[in-house]
Parts: sequence; structure tokens; C-alpha cells
Amino acid sequence: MSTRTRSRLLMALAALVMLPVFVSPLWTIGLVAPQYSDGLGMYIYVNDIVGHERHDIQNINILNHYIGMQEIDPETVPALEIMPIVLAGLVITGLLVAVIGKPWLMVGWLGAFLVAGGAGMVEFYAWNIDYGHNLSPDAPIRIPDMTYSPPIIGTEQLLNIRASSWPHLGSLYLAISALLAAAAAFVGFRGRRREKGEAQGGDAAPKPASLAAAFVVLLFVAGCGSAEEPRLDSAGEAPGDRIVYGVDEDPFCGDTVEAVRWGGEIVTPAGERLRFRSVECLAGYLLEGRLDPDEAHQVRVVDFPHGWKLVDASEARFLHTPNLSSPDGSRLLAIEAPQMQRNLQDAYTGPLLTWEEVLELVREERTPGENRS
Amino acid sequence: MFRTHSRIRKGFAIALMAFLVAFLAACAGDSGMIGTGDAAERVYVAPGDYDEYYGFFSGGYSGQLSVWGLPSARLFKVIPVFSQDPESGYGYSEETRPLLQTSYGFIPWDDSHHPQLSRTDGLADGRWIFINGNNTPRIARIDLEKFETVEILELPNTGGNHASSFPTSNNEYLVGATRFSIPAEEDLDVPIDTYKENFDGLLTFVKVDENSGEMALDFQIRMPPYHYDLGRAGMGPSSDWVFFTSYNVEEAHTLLEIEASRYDKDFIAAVNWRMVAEAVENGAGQDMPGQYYHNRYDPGTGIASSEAHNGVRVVDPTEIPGAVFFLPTPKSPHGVDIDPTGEFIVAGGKLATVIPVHSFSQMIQAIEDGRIEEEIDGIPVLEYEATMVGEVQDPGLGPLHTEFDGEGYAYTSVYISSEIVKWSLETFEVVDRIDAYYSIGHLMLTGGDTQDPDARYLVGLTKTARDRFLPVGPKQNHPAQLYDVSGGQMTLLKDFPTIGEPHYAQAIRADLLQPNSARIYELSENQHPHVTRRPGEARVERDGNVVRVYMTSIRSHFTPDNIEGVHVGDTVYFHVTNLEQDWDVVHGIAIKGAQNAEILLAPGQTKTLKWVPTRTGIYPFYCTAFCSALHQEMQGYVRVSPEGAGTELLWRTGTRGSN
Repeated sequence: MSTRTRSRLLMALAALVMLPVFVSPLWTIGLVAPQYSDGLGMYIYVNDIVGHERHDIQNINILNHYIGMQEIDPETVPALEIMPIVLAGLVITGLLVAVIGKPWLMVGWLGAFLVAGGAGMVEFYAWNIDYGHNLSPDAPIRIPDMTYSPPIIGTEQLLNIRASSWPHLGSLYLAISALLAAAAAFVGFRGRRREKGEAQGGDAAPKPASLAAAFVVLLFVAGCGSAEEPRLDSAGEAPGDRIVYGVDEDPFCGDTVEAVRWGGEIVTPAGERLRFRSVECLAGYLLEGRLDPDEAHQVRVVDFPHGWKLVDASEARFLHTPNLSSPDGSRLLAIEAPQMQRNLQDAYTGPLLTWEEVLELVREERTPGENRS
Repeated sequence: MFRTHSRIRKGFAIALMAFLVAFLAACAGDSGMIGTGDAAERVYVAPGDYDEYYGFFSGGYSGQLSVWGLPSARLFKVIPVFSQDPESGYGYSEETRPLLQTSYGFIPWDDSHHPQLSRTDGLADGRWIFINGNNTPRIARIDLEKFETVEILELPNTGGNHASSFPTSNNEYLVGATRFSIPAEEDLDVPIDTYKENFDGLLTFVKVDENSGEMALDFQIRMPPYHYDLGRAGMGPSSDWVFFTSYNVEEAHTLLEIEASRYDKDFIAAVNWRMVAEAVENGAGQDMPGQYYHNRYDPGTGIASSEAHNGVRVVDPTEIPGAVFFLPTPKSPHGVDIDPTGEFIVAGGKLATVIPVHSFSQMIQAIEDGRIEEEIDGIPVLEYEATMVGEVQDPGLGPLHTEFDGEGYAYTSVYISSEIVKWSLETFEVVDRIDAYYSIGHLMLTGGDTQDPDARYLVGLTKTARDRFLPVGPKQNHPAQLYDVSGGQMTLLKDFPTIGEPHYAQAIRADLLQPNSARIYELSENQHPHVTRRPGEARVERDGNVVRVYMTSIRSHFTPDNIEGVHVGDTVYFHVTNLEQDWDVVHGIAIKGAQNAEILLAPGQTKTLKWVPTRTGIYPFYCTAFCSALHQEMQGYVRVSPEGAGTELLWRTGTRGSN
């Protein structure tokens, strides 16, 4: 097979591999909350937005109306009408380019494709910002400066909901298409150079068999990609990593943990977990000096807005607020995310302390007398 | 003279037995003990984890059916069946009221005794569960996708439908029977002491549609006026037969305690249902009057409707020779239970000191050999010795019901000595016994009444708690006990209070039901004539004195939530549709002064609350289900004007409304 034919074949494949994008989601957004451990979510297709489950869009809309977010209605998103036309155009022109077989046309096609893809991403980003920021002033729940745009890629905690956003199969097909088009142009240019340089030379271009193999590998990778899509219903922690209310007993303040979100734990080098009902109990225990200071203990606190996720105490900030009362009176909320720290500070007021400052505060509170005013 | 004598003798024997049994129980006590830590572990189902089995416990005189997890003994749900349920509005809403209609009018209560899972090839298939109403004789069918009552069929000519709702191996028939014989001719006004002449004992056979599950009264068999107590269909080789116990062959009609306990033997009636059904199909029997109601719930509209019937085909056993036999059985037998192989017919001779076991194959042989003792009203009585294969000795006092583990052992509940005895189906000897707390009635082994039991758990359904829990006054809830039967010996795992009287129970492996459980009612499939699919369609309409409110519920508001133009003398129907399509997001509605109940609406359901205001004023209504963070705000007002005031009809929610 001549390099020219190979190049055309690759180009035709690049166009054809786009076809499944009509039926595969480009993106997926998942939402997990305590009441929705199975999660709610949506798939974004070139021409539609549909729920992971049949009624998910309706249910997301109902939940979102409390914070004033707009309803998702695929009928009103213009991009969903334009994208299928653009995609169809790319498939048809891609096949035409394959027939013509000129490498620079392939480069041009790829360029157009990337511009269209980039425009799509910009549009998605803009929609996402509008969706999360353009909130109704009549919303029943308003938190100053809080916005709710899900991330474009990755995971973020938004109030009680953990939102995750990842590319899905459709995007992988598009990526494969781009790679194939690039390969087509590359093979085409090299063939032409070889023809021009009238060198008969060895067959340096990849054999069709190896190309086919590469294609299969790509598809396989795509398949894996979807299979390995991050699971949305866990924080990557086994259930044993959670503090259990009513079960875990506080070795310092006594009693069992009653509200997990105020709690924390110490993991000893031996792997023993000491669970505390509040940040102040945890600090108090450490201050008593019962632990061997030479050993590396892991000190973790529950991220208050998350509810049960444990984070390193040194990485959290602690809102010391007069407006919420913690189980043992020191009024300390551990918060991991900087944005959330600001939000809760705005909502509840009070200083944000580091872990060292918390230890200092608890030491003062526990020492009656001159230190206290 | 003779009678007094025999009673004294019996009393002495019972006292002796009680002493003996207490002694034996004390000895056996150790074998039943396990470390409490071990038991705790075996019933512990961690938070968020699921149980191995669904358990369905009848509510007895609560008229309901409760759903439990086993082995944790966590209560999941109480399904209202024969009794009104103010919690959900079942039996109060216009949609569900027809389910409780009978030929005696609207009956808001019954005594539900024997739940029975529908069967395929002798095994529970998890499609439906049936349960009998004892008092005003009925059988109900509960759908196991929605866990709700969908059909109730009344049985005519029946007094106390106790031997019910037992199905044959493929639900070809469910049986019913008269526990109190009454004249078959309905509403017959005769002196009670003409019992022997005028009274009949009717056995009822109800057909079940294999696809829809819908029940239909097929025929009744007119038997002598005994009291037909319990019934069970055969399995495997005996699956064409149904067996009923009877007491009161003495045909007494007063002071039965003594009069019906006189004879040494009563009967098990063996009925070849297939033979009778074929004969009926070919014209046997005669049509007799018999009023009954058939109430069905239409899953499309979500509305139940009642159909009044009059007439039933009644067959005389003498018309079909070879179809009905009596097996003499000691002392007023109560339970009759068939082992998984279909061979052993175990009777619970409640006053007997042994457990008699008949053999099905010997019964067939005795019929072939013509070993007939006598005939009663044309029904052949087989010789006791011909059908009997064994008598279990020392079973304790008052054996009632038996279930099987499929591994060659039977477990019998023993009421008076309050224990469970395990005995071998080979040697008919007791191999283990354990206490019940207290006075056990039925017992239920997981799958223990089917062709393939799981020898895992045994639930003892007991009649009195006495000192078992913190006391709650003179009347306490009935308890149940969970035993592990997977080892060689029974071990008590848990003792827990239940709902009503847990008369009998069923269990089914969770994986057979869990995947089928529905999460919502599809709003797009809601065919209710008064459905409101969008808040934009909400409205109030007047037709004479009837005001219909087409209302929607969605987090967290009603549409409409302000209504004016209702007058004293109007009848108001709130047709409320829950627009939610999310699992377990339930709304409710309650309005001040309503003389029925609140109504709960599952996602996608439409239900109707009827309200007849009797005084003028402003009436708040609100959502009773804690549906969302702004549940408290989910409320509204109705203005009620004096009769003839001519207040214009008006409704709104926010800016949406009639004007």
C-alpha cells in the first residue's frame, strides 16, 4: 500500500471515528450528597443533556432552585443545536479531504476541528459560569459570595454536594480523531517528501497492520478511560476511615461522638485511631502530652462543610466563630478549601486560625487564671 | 360421670407432662445457650448494609402486614391491608376506600393471619404476597414492586376465613375455609340449635391469574359443618392435593371449649383440587347465591374500584368420588404442614401428647386398597393405621405448627410448654428443643413451608411478652424470637417486639425482591382522571356543591396555595399530584377540621382528600411529610364563606393563579 493510500485511509478513519460522538456523551457531571449516595448527574451530548438516571435533570433542577440556580433545559441551549451541525460538517469534510488526499488539507481540517473544539469548550465554560453564578435574587437560600459552578474537570465540594466533572467517551473519540488526522497528515507529508527526494529507500512509514493495532489500542484505552472514570460515590476512602457517630468513643472528653462534622482523629504510627468528638477535645488530648512526642502521629480533623472527610489538621483552617456552638464549647470549625473558609467566615464571622493557633487557644482556655481575661 | 372422670385423668396427665417438660427444657436449656457476643454478631447488620432476608409478618388484629429485615429484625414498613391507616391515608383517600368495601358495607378493619408469598414450582417467587382477613372473610393481594395492597376479594358463605391464604405450588388456587361453620344459604334466619341440619362447612378455591395475579372465586366445596382450621397445599407428588384440619366433628354450637374436645379424633380433610376443578369445568356443582365484593386497584389510574358479585359454584363431594377423603387425626388438630418432599403430612394435635404424621403415599395406597373405616355424608374416612407413619413422642404440650429445614428435620411450635422442638423425619424422634418467650403460635423457618427451604433462620411468633422487655403497662406488644438453625442445634439470637399480633410470617431472600422494588410512580404513566401534570394546570373547579381542587406538590410549595370561594355546604375534593420523580420524596396534605386523615403521596402519585367544611373561616393546610429544607413553608390557606355568600372562586400560588 502506498503511503498516499495509508494517509487517506487514516484521514477517512479520523472522520469516521467521529460518528459515535453523535451517540456518546462528551462530558459527565456527577453530584454526590449525603442524601444522594448513589449520586445524581448528567451527561452532555453534542445535541442534548440527559440525566444519569431518567429523572436526574428534574431532580437536579428541584434541588438547585433553593439556591437560585437556573433550570437546565436542553431546549434552550443554542450550542446543542449548533454542535451536531459542526460535527456532521467535520465528518463530511473529513471524508472529502480523505478522497482528495492532500496533506495540507488534512492539516487545515485538523485546524478547523481544533478551533471548533476550542470554541465548544469556551462555550461550555461560559455556560458553566453562568449556570453557577447567575443566581436568582429570590432564592430561599442565599450564602454571601457563594457560587455553584461545577468544575470543568475535577472534583469540588459545593455546600453539601460534591460535584465532579470529567470528559466522557465522546471526548475520547474526538481525541482519537485528532490523533488520526495528525497521523494522516504526517504520513502524507512524509510520503510526498520521499517522492520528491526520489529516494526509493526503506519503508519507513508504519505498516498498516501496526497502524490498525495502534487504533485498536486507542479504542481500548478509550474503553478503559470510561471504565476508570472516577467513582463519584466515595472520597477514595474506605468506610472504616470515617468517624462513626454513636460508636466511636472520645478518649479525652469521654462519651461517644455525637456529630461527626465537629470531630477529628489521631492516627498513631501503629495504626491505632483515636477519635474525638470535637477539635477542642483533640487539641486537649494532644496538650496533655500522653503521646510520645518522638513518634509521627497523624492528626486529622473533619472538614466541617463536607461532613465526614478527614483532612490533615495542618492543612485546614479553623473558623473560631461566636455564632455556632461546637460540642465542647470552643466554637472551632475545621475547613479545608480556601473558598469555603472565606464563605463560612462571611456567613458566621470570626477569625480563621491555623492548627498551631488552635492549640494555643485551647491551651489558654484550659488554663484557668491569668491568661484568661 | 364418665366425662368428669376422663377430665380429671386428662388434667393429671397434663400436670405430669408439664412437670416433665419443664424438667426436659431445663436440661435442654444449655444446648440452646450461646455467648451473647456471638449472637450479637450474627444479627448485626452494619449501618448502611442490607439484611439477608425480607420478612413479612402479619399484623394479626392490626389488620396489616409488616416488612422486616432478617437477621437484624429492623422494621422497614407497615403495609396497610385490611385496616384504615391514618399515617398514609390508606382507606381514607377516595382512591383507596373502595378496597375496604364488602357485602356488609365499608369495613375498616380485619384480623390478618397468614401471609403467603406467591409461588412458582413450589418456591416463593417474590411477585405478590397474599394474606387472609379472618373476621369479614377476605383475601388480599399485595404487590411486591410497590409494596402496596392492590386487590381484596371477599369470600361468601364463610365464617372466619382462617385456613387461608395458602397457595398451591404454582398459585393455581388459593384456599379459604370456614372456621366457624354457618348456613351456606346466606342470611338464613334459623335457630342456632338447628346446627346439624342447617349449618355447612364450605371450603373455598380462588383462582389466581398467572400473569396479573388477579384473583377470581372459582368454586366452593360443601363439607359437613365442622370447623376448618388450617390448610396447606401439597408439594411435588402431593401437589394436586390440599389438606385442611378440622375440629368440632362433635358439631357443637355452644361451649366449644368442652363440647368440641370430646372425641379422641378429628379429621384432616384431603381434597384433590385438580380433580374438583376439572369436574367444575365440566359442569359439576350448582350455582348458589352468595354475595361478595371484589375490589381491585388499577395501577394506571391509581384508583381502586369495587365490584359486587352474587353467586358461587358449590360442589358436593359426593358428586366427585375420589376427590375428598378424611384422615382421622388425634385431638382437634390445628396446623397441617407438608414437608418439602410432599410425602409427610404433619398435624399439630393441639391437645394431643404426640405429633401425628401421615404419609401421602400411604394415603394413596389406602385409597387404592379401599381401607375405609366409614363414610360421613358420603365422604370416605380412611383407616388411621393405614395413613399414619409415625407419632413423635414427647413433643411437649400443645404442638401447633411445623416447618422444615429440607435436611430431614422438622420444627414444631409447642404452645402450652412454650418451646420449639426439632425432630427427625426419619426416626420421628425429638433431637433438640429450645424455649419460646412466651406461648408460641406459628413459627417460620426461612423458606420452611416451600419445596426448598433455606436452613438459616427460624422465627418464633409468640403471643405474650410478659417480662421480656421494659414493661409498657398491662397490654404489651407481641414479640417474636429469631433463632439460628444453620448449625446442628437451634440457638436464640434475638427477641424483639412487633406490630399487632405477628400471627404468621414469610421470608424471602433479599436478592429476589430488592432489585424489583420501585422507586417512583412514573408521572408520565399516571392515568388518574384528576391528575395535574404541571403547576400551570393547577386550578379550582366548581360543579354545583362540589369543588375540585387540582393541586400539585413539589418542593416546597403547593399550587394553588390560596383558595377562596369555598362555602359551607360544599364538598371539597383535593386532587393532589406529587410532581416529584425522585425516590422517597414524599409530600402529604392535611387540612384543619378534616374528618378523615392526612394523605401521603409517593412521588408521581395522585390522591384525593375529601373535605366538608362545616364552619366559616380561614383553614390552613400543610404538607405533612418532611419533604425538604423548606417543608415548614409548604402550606396554604382556604377561605370558607357562609352558605350562599357568593364569594368568587379564586386561587393562586405567588403570581400564578386564577386572575
